[in-house]
Amino acid sequence: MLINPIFALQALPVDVNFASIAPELIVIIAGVLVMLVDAFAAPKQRWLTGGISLAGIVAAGVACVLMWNDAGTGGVVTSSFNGMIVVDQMRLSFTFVFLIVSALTILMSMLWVEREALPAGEFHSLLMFATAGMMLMASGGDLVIIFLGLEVLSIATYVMAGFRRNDLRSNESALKYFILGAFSSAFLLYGIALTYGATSTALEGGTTNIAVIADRIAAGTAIYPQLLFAGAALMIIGFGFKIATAPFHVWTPDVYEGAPTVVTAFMAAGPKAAGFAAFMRVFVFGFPLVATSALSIQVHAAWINALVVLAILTMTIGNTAALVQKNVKRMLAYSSIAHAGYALVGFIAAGVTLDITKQNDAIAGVVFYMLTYAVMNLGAFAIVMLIARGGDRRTELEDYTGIGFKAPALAFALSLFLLSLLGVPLTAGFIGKVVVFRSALDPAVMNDYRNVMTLLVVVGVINTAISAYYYLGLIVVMFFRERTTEWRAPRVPASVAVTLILTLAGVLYLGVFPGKVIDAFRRNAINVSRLR
Amino acid sequence: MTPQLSWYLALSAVMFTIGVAGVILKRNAISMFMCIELMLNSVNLTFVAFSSFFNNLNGQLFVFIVMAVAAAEAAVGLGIIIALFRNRESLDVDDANLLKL
Amino acid sequence: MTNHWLSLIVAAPLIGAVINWLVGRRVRSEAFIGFVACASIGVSTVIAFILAFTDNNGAGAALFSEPARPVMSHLWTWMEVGNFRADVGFAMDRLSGIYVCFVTFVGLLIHIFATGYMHGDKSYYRFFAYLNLFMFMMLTLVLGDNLLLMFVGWEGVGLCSYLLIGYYVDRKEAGDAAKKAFIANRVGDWGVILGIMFVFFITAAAGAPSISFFEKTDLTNLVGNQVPAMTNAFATIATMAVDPFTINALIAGGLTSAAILLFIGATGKSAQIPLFVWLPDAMAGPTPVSALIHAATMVTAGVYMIVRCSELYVRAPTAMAIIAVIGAATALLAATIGLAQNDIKKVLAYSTVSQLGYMMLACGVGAFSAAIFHVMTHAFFKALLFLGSGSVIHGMHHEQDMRRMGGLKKYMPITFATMLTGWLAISGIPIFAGFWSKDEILYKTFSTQSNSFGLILWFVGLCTAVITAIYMTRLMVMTFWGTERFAEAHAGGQGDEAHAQAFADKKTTAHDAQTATIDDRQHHSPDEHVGAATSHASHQVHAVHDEHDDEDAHEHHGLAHGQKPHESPLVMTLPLIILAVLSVFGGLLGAPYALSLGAIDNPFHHTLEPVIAHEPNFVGGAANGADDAHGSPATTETHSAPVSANEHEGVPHGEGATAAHTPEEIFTERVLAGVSILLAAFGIGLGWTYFQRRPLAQMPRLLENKYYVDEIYDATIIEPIKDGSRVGLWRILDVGVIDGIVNGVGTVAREAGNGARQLQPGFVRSYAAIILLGALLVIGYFAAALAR
Repeated sequence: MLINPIFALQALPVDVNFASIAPELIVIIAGVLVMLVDAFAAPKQRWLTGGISLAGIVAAGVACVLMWNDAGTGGVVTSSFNGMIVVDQMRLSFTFVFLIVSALTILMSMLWVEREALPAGEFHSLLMFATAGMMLMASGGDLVIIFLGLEVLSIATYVMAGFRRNDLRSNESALKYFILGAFSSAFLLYGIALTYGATSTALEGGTTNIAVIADRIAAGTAIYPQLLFAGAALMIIGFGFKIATAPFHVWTPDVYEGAPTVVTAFMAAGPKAAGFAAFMRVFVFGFPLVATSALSIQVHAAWINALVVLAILTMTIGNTAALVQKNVKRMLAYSSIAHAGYALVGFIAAGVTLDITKQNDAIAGVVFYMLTYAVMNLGAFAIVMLIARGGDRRTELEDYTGIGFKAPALAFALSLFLLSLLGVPLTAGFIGKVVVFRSALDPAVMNDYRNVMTLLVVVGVINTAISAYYYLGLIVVMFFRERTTEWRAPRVPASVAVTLILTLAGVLYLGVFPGKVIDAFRRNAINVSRLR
Repeated sequence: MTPQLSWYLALSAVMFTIGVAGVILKRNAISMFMCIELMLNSVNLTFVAFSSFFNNLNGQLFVFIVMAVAAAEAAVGLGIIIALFRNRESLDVDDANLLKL
Repeated sequence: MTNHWLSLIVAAPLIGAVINWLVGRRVRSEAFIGFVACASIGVSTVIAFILAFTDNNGAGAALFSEPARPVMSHLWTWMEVGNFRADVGFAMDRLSGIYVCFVTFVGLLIHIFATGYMHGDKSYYRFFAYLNLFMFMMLTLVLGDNLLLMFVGWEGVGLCSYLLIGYYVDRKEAGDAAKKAFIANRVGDWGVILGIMFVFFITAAAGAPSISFFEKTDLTNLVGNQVPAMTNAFATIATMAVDPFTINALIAGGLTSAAILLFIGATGKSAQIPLFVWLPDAMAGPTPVSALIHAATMVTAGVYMIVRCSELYVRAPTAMAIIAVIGAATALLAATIGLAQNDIKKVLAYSTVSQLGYMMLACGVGAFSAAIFHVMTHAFFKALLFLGSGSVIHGMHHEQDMRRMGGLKKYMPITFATMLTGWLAISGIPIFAGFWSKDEILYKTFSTQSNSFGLILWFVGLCTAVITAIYMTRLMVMTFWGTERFAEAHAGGQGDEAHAQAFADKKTTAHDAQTATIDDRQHHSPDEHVGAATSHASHQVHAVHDEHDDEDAHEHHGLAHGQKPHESPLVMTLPLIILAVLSVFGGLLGAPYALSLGAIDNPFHHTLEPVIAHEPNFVGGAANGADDAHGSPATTETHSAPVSANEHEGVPHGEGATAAHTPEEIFTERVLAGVSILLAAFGIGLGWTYFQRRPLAQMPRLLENKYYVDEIYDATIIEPIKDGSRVGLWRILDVGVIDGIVNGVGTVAREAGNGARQLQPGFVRSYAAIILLGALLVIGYFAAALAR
């Protein structure tokens, strides 16, 4: 066999293991299948394409569970495709969250695509590709895969945001998301390029493998350590945009308001969680603290401190800006920014916890937080979608005036979701916050960061107190204001009813019996999530 | 005088900066998009430079992926811009300000 | 010991709520709904009393078993992350036993009362579903066996209170009051949740991570499996040294920080300075709600929590001092405001705030059992007063303004007689319940050694007692004695309008509310009401109310011309009578040795003794504990001798220590009691002579407007936050900063400056600029980090 000499230097035995990307493959195949069916089947096949998509997601979920058990029994983290893909608890639990988000989004979309006579097949296939992108972001052990997943996700969501083609607001939302998204992707990419260069060693050249990056920083063999700082900074910007941390959040309110409500719900829950998956993977494992390496200590301190500031800004700006919103979707957009801030607290906690078990607890806490947020947020947006009616026209606060007793079931369900977002006990949101803040205050946190973490938690808890104002404001508007105009309760179609029942049950289940889920996320904590 | 690595890096940084400035200063959606392409390509230059100086193929591999992604992005981006143009008959992004606080 | 009947106490009201919500809304029979609601609370009450007082299966009564052991019911482990574990499980020890008994009993009476009071309301089922849900949450709060489950109840009662304050959904002020209550409570809640975290980490640092109130060994769950063992967090804290008495301890992250964080929550829930503003507004809810939630049960949750965590508090003398000062200040402030209110429920609301201040004062001086004792007697007499006022309001057809009452005693004899006992009880006349508890608090404050300003606090408490007697006398005189002003014309009031509206909507004949037609009311202008002698004064008074009267002038209620007030039906007067009896005799449970001439030696205190904290030197009676505390340099520096906090508590009532009643102490206690009796009598006499002659006397404007606290909060906190959000974030970020920065580099290209000047919210380019600005900051920071 003829081998290029340069290639031979680096060639490793090619480690192809399709089983390790089974969930991703299934979702992608389902997406392609949906496209084909859409092209060849009779029109108005929304149940068909929706059904295929759901079946794909369920199948991927099954594959995920099987892998889960494997990962559990072996207790050893495996990677495949020469470190490009990792199989660990963090990836699988994030994948689980993405699948739930996508399944609920498909259920919600059934009504919408029908109501507005939109091409269902296109929407469902885009959603499947976006899901595959998210899953790749969580499973990438290499910056290439993470970047690829991020772009697959982004490109699909750009289209979804502008899916209502004849609506100027939807167009505008897509344009803003596209330009700003591509803009921030460029920053991320530049960050990756500089990190790649920075980790070059005289013998082997640079690397984009996260585990190897960590090794080289620790070993001190990198030739251009200075570039590493620039690389890390630029990557923070790119990921910060995806998860909407202040000040990279500016796109969020406009895009969320203009996009079709189903897509908004998806964007707030799915891509944000995917952003966290990749962000945590790269920084917690790629730039960890290694006590023996001065470079590592410096970089670690820099990114932790930067994130601390971002987290405080994000929580505060998200909540204070939400106070004065008159549009419900916009208010929920700012609320989603605030929630990213709370989750960042858990992320930082994972970064400053050296004990591996505790670190995995902290990561599991963030995953759990994203799950609770996804469930309550999708539920809230499902109701917003119903009340908004065709064309998403009725999303102003005044459209909710006095509907409390005209559509009691919807209004009470929305109230429950809002209370959960607020973090009232016995709802999922409360447990999510407790889990995240607990890991931030854990004694395992490095001594240097004790005070900082306490500060973060104090800011977070004060912010939840502030957030009571706007969440309750909506409840008050629904129940305590007189409506002067005519209003009829919207019809609740079966698919949305199922979504609502699932999300309501989820909010209560995760609020009352969270133990099993949290345990599943942090099982086998010792060996999980270590890439090497 | 043989070209140094730093020359390439400086060139790509300058290109990146020009791209960023373009995104902020240009009002035409297509021009903004071209500026973003410029940013992506400056990054490609960085990748290729490192790859070539250290005889490592990872960077070139990355460039291929970036090019593929950029192509997909271009298709989608032009689609979005055309949809907006049809409804509004303008390519000026500052006209797109229905959504604001 | 395990006894799963305990869980049924909590579950019964929940079941009642669910039945009323699902079935009641369809049945719409008041008898059915009322029965379900009362029966579910009845079940809780019966089980609570059985568990508390009877020796079930030889396990021992929760209140009397020796040694004191809680009855426990572990249901499931709620969450377990690392070593952080919170269970869903309930426990009844002596403290929660006392609490549960009076909560269920008073709750039952109020439920019965409410079946009469809410008669004819259009959403009867909703009211009782909420009320039952409230009882469920309240019992969770009290019986929860760990801090986090207690917090569930804590938030839950807040939520139910929110629902019930806003019960009259068609009134805007009800919605606003509800929101205000919830937000004030949320502000406090951040303290609780952080406090819980702190307790957890303090115990974790000591090697026994726990947030449980009880030690769990040898318990079985519902299916009979063994429950994993759990340590008692407060037993762990009880082994720790006392925090020094310094301001720095507040932020040091130790015991004092945890204590003060929890207390911040208590200021919200128990309406203390600075968060008391929500409670008076909460009177927008129906009167039984005011009686149950905003007087007898929920608002005392803060006191319960502090007593429950007393081991923590006795080790945090700084926190104790702050609690004492805030409690005393709240008591005085609220009492003075209460002096000037004209709405009968507002007077009682401020009175409640004031009494809660007393309870906090008691906690702050280490008299935990006195605080709980006052909680209990207050539940009796304040529930009585509120229900009595409800009966008056009911009889007056939703008139709440005392200026339009007067002379009611002849129309409502039972209400009058029962409220009379409530009045004497709260004023502190001997034999009546309020006397014993208030006097014990004052005595403990006087003799406290936990801080050096006990005398000042005692004096403040005494002043409050006098003012209390005055404003309660004013209330009684204006309502029951004097001329019958209701026959005259009337202007605006803050009636339970929506309540009456509900009747009008239903066109019920049970009430004659609708006979007062809209035409009847509209011509009442502020000038023509009440007596000529006071017309000027009352005109001014009404200037405040009239603002919103104008907008809903048709909602005025009260008696039409020629109508007479009427006595309430038996379902309403019966609970009044029972509460009146309790208000008279309930206090004997806690009568101290000195005042009962040795006949009774404060059995209440002795019951609670084993479960509340003692002064650290008495823990285990071991000398080393005392030495540790005394010997630590930090404590010896301070003259206020924090370690000897509530030493009197240990000495006079030490276990089996009747002998510890020294003659001097008995003498002091008797003298102080004499002083307070004289002052109470003086207050009543003063009120009587003054308000008998001038029932409509103009009160000081400052008091009438509640020291303008609401206005100050609006102006200094709420508006700035809103403005900051509305203006600041955008204007600064966009126009100012971005524009400035881009203009700064504007020389690079004039084009750039021109373009950037047009950056506005909503423009893609301005967003890109903000992102770039953020990017530059992050990169700049990293560059600086590299250079370092």
